[in-house]
Amino acid sequence: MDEAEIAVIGGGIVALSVAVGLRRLGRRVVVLDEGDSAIRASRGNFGLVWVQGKGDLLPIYTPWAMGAVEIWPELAEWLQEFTGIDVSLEQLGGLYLCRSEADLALRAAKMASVAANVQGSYRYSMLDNKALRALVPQVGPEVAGGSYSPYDGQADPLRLFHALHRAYRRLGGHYLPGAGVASIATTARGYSLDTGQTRIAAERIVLAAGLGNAALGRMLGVEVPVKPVRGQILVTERVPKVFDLVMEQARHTPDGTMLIGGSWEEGAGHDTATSHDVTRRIASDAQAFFPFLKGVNILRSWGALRIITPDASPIYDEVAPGAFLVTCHSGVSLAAVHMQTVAGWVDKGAIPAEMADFGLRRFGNHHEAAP
Amino acid sequence: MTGMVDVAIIGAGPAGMAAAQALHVHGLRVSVLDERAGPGGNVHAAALDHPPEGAALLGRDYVRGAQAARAFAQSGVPVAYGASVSRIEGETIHYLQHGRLRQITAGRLMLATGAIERPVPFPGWHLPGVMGAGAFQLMLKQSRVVPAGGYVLCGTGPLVLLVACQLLALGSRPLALLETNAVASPVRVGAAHLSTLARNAGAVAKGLSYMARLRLAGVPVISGVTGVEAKGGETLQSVHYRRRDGATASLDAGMLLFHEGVIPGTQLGLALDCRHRWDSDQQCLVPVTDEWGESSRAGTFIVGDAAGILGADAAPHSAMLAAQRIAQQLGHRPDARAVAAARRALEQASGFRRFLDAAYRPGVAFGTPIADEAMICRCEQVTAATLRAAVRDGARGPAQAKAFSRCGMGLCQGRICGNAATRLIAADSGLDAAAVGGHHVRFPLKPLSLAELADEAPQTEQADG
Amino acid sequence: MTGPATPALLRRAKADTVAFMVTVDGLPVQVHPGDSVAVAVLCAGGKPYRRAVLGDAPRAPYCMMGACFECLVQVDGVPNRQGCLVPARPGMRIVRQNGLNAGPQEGPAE
Repeated sequence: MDEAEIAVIGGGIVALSVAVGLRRLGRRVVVLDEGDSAIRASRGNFGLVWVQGKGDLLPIYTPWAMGAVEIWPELAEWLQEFTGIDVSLEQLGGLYLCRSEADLALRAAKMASVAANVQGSYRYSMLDNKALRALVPQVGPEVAGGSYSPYDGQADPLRLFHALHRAYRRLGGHYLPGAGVASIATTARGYSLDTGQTRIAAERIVLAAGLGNAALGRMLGVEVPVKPVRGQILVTERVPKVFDLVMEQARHTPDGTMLIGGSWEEGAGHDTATSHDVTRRIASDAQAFFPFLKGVNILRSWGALRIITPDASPIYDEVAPGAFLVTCHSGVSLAAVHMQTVAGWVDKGAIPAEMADFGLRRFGNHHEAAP
Repeated sequence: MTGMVDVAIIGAGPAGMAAAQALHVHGLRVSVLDERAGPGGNVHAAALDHPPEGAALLGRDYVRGAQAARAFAQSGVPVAYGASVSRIEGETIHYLQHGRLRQITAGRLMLATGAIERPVPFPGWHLPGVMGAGAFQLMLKQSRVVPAGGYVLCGTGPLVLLVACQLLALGSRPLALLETNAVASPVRVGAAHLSTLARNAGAVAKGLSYMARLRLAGVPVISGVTGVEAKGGETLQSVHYRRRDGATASLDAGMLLFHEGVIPGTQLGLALDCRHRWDSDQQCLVPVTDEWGESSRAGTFIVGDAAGILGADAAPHSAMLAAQRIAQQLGHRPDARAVAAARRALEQASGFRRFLDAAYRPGVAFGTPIADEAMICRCEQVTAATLRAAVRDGARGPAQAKAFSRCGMGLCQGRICGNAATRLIAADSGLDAAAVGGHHVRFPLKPLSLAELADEAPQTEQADG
Repeated sequence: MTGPATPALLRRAKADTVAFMVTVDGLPVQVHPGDSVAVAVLCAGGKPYRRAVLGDAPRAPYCMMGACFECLVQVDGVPNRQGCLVPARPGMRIVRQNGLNAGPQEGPAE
């Protein structure tokens, strides 16, 4: 039987961000991770450090995301110093490309609705093809346009993922791989987690297992409304760096490869497979967006599962005394704020004002699981 | 080649050729795809490019293989050569041929993708001039070429000896053969397999004659080598080795041909999520199949060396079993005598393989931990030290290790580093290699351009040959 | 990065077929039926077979069976072809790859 002050359930970027934050606050932490083949959004992530478009269904998400990217440089600097891993943060602005006029009109409406809800300044612009190509000359002539935001950027998600694991280890954190939680019991001093092989006693627990939070929530009698939305991504061979801006549809990684997205597939369940039709459509779009990519080789494709809530925004909630739910789709964008503010909340137990409206109650009274 | 067939066979080597002909005889619609320009697979590569009399130089087995390739070419079985499988989804096979992505659909799939030489990372193995002895033998068969300068053979097993003899026959003599067999006395092993040896007297005689020819030619055979290192700059300059007693020495050489056996080519089966097991004796992944070669993916059969190493002579027999089973599944009467004969032949081959596996143990791959400076992932230039750091940072399997280190993320998608990565992660984490498992394989199986993927040929447009 | 010329790794021991010509980096090289593009480049010598995208490292074919991707070469304007799997054909223009793929060169032969 292992024992810790706080058990963090999950082994991805969200879990490790919180776990590292708690170790830095001096807490005794154990991270319970699944095995090598676990469904893991952190390994399939595109790597956007992103603000634009966030908050259209939950206005408080916009300032939360803006605050998160503002403190990201401190995280990058600390990880570089502490782990020797350069997570390649670049915050030079980002673009969302629209191939058709219809897509562009939808995008304009979404951005306008986000901006209307923001108190204070929110900078973005809608671009037509000409304005787009002034910014990124490689964009193809048949692309209708796009939206631009100066807040956006990118970081390498795999390096971040690795750096967080290394930082956690160097901070003396206890890490248990192959230890998915099968059941949760309450005890006089908190919780007892059963992995099937061992039991872990902890005063507090953090539910940070992505899609796994649905099952963990049920163990506590709480309905956690997360569902998988598959995204397929292509990665190319290394190409010379041609643009500094990052786009939701294309990102030049620090290793030189190009990531090309994407898809939004709601019916795929927990299947992370890729499909011919979708990868072919992505390749077709990518050729239209960037004609220079035509002859560039695709090395791999993969499917990753987004963790999507009904309003596509994070959930932070103490779902039972000492049981903290942390779930979101944007583990990279929010990494710095998870390490600071969210870890601070778990540490102190009192929710900061800017997080207070991210609770489950915003989804109405349906979040209690049927007995 | 038509767009819809009963069975698609991937690979036109000994197994694929045999299966295709057997199914063809049953009147089933068969299509064979192979990456090479002609039949024969690796073992009988380029068999049709040379006049038959030239094949004699390469030995009797090659002559027989060349004959089989010729017979296959005349059998009328439709084959797409230069065809590289890109993705298999359900019953549809997407393949790249002559710069176009094409597709066929097949009710049954047979993977006859053969073996690959066991990739054994050691320091400097990525230098130009270092290559597999089996790889070199392929060039020798295709082109009758020999190393231009001094060279060293290193490794263990019958193939190294055969390559040495083939080189001698072409008038080229290696500087030395560095024998890495961890078994000090194969003769003693032979004593335990006497009945097997008696049943395989021809093969045994062949092996003995290789050794005799090497001695006669005055090739120094240095035994008990446990570690090797290649040094050089733009190309290999010297080969450094260590013997079991700790003694070290070096040889100046422009080429190093290394070989410690072959392992099944599992890339396609892994991509299809066919179940695999870790063979702890041969330290490699092997697909799990039933007695007919059908994998855990219903309708997908794995035959020949791709299903487990038994050699080129045995490959047609496992292919025959799968072919008869498929014929039966599709309502044809299987040839019971062919099935019985194939089972007998496979049993004999398995016995001899057990002897070979016991008599030749890869001393470098199995006996020596991978050196920190060895570039385990050649594509992404990941050293063993970097992979070890990933294990220290918590990686317990190839997927997490890949995310942490990029090992297996390059062009070859783990074909070359996968086996060594599993072994290293197991050794360093204390886990069983079976628990560590193999790497995940993603589509496309080989790189293709965005334009090639976006502009796939319509189903009706099919190219022959 | 030039330095002294790299010797060819291979020489032909025996020719039982009629030779034809290809070019490697524009220079004529004699090859035979059965030769792969990789063999043509290895016989040509003079320079490393290719330079890796990472670190400019010299590399040459390792597996000759389509697995290792060390033999990538540009053939008739198409980059990144696996030289070990592509048979040499008369008049083929083979160009060594040094570093990044800058896209098709000279236009692919149709």
